Amino acid sequence: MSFGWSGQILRVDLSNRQSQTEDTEPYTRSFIGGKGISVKVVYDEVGPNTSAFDPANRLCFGPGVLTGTLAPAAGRMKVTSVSPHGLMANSGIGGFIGAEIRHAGYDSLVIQGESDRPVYLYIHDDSVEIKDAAHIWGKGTQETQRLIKEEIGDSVEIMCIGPAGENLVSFGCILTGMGSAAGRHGLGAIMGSKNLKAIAVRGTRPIRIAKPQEFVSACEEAHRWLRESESMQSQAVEGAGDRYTLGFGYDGGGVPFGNWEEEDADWDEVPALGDADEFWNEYAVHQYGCIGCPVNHFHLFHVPGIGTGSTKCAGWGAFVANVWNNDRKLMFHANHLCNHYGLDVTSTGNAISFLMELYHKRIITEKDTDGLPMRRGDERAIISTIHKIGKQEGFGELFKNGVLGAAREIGKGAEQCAMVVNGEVIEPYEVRAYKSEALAAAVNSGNIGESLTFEYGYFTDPEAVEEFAEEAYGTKEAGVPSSYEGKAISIWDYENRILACDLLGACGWVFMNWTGGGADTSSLEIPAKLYSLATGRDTSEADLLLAAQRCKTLERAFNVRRGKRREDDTLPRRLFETAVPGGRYKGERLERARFDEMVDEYYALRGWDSEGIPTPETLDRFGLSSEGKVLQQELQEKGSLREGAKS
Amino acid sequence: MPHIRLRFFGLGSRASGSHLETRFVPEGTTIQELLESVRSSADDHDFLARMNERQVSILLNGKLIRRAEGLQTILGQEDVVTFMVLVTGG
Repeated sequence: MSFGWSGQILRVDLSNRQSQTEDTEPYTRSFIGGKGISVKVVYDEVGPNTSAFDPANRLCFGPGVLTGTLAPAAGRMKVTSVSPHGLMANSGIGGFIGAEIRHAGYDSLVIQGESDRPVYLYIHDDSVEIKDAAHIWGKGTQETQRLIKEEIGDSVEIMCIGPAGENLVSFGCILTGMGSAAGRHGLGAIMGSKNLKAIAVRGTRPIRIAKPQEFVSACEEAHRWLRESESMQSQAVEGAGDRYTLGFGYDGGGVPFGNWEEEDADWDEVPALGDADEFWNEYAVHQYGCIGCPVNHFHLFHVPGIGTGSTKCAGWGAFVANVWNNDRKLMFHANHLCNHYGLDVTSTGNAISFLMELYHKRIITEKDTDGLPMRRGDERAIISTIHKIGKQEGFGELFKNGVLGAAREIGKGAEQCAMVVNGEVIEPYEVRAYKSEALAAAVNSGNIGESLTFEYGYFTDPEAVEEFAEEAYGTKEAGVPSSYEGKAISIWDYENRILACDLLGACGWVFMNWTGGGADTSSLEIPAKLYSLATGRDTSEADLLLAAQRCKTLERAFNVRRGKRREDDTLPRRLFETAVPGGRYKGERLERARFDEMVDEYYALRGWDSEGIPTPETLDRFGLSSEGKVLQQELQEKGSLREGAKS
Repeated sequence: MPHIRLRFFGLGSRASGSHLETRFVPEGTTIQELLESVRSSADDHDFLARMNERQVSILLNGKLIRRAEGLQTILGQEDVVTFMVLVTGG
């Protein structure tokens, strides 16, 4: 087998309880690894009419080519499937599980079928066991991992679902360790639909490297480069982690209050964000990160009366201004419960925010929420709702199909308050102010985090950001958050770069995005060099970006086959009809016409037509002619069925 | 009077770090005094004017200074002082 890759894709069919391996090689030239392999598998093997919970849906786990090697900040893995909302979706997970899969001898795991009873997989190198999970079905994610380790030994890495995924809640997540999760897009529900509770992995095999001595030297150099970089020194040594991120978002006007409330929102109600140091100093017990990462920007907390757990900035941001809360202990508690139940924090926070708005407007009363007043910022409202959703009890059942599903059941105009794109909640960023985020959320089903760009530095250092924007994208305006100019190209560029990282298992946050404000670690040259030395295939940054665009195009083509069109790449009406009610960008609006122009520009950059369909020329350019024929044939003969949220 | 360079890192890894200014400081100026001077001269709307000291890392010639004793470091000729906002994501 060639170097760098483990050489095999492990396929497990839960219906017939069989496993087999497949050679990775055919995928590697065009799709490299990681998410690339997964997107190709789903495109080829999941039909346009296959529902998310159909046993024929594929659930793919793609660690990257650098994952499990000595390369720094390469512990990431992407999970890919058709989500409960009907489109191909991906979510990243960190920790140690990706490396373990690679050392077990696999570049990818593809799960299909459906077990007739709850099971978990135990993969130990060549050995693949489908084990009974009746005794852990219903357990929270931490207890699940503990019980599995008691059963098979603790030299394993485990990812699992909680009760939410078991109950097919459309925002059930997959979690590993103390809190690293493939949170978005309900991939935990896909796993639950297959009656698959957990995957435990033990890997003892080496990964063959093409040029081992040069690779080790390059890894040492990369580690040293990261550790000595000004930004990494700040992050790792200072131990800040996510401590100040939320406050920064507040200052930058990037955090929405409530459910993106309208202009006449009670702005005086907005709680000021308290000091993070008080919480960190009292409750942080450990700083850690994904395997091989020198940044270690997670913190483990122990809060008496709540428990021990971890969360990241997305988790903090999910239970703050949007639910009218500034109590960090409450934020931690909410995250801790979401982790226990295996719930996506972003979607859960938005569900609560949605209910709070409906209650505030008297669209619902206590009667609709089991006697629980959904008052803004109310601790009991927040905590009880998470329990209800996680257990699928009482009014929590409303959210089985997400916020939009709940809105449709409630009626009475509640749909106007559902802040979703293609059924998925929008991440809690103030997209009316930050135009790049508006574009990212629209074209990526509510996802923003993986497209965040440099303009967050604008309010601290506008001259530097404008200077960079002009150099990189030809206009200073690309760095100005409230401007529409230059946003299509910056989002396009960032998406490509982060996707390139996804093919390798490299962390987009380190090599592209949030590196503590430092420009000194943002580059794909290092990952490209390490990939070249590991595989023996001379690959440049440009080559990686080409592969990333190929992967993005194929993902889009699949979703077009599922019915996605231009009309789906938009945002809820409220965001075009209201202004930011307060803060740094008070009064800022998102103009529909200018927004549409951004989408036009983005499509043009992607090589998609006005409906967002990859053109034949674009498909040919990326070597996707045969996949393109499938797309064209379906468009001509049958069109595509659009699938809504499924239970 | 020592001539020093200041670099300010905002957020957005590829964008930051290009903002550079130079100045002369009185002999014996410490990093603490420089920090106070930077803050006092920042515009009211400027993040630097309002920054929580703990939210900013300070590096001297590329190396992180230790808090407390590091802030008392006396600046020398052509020293480069970097102020970096402590934010990360994930």
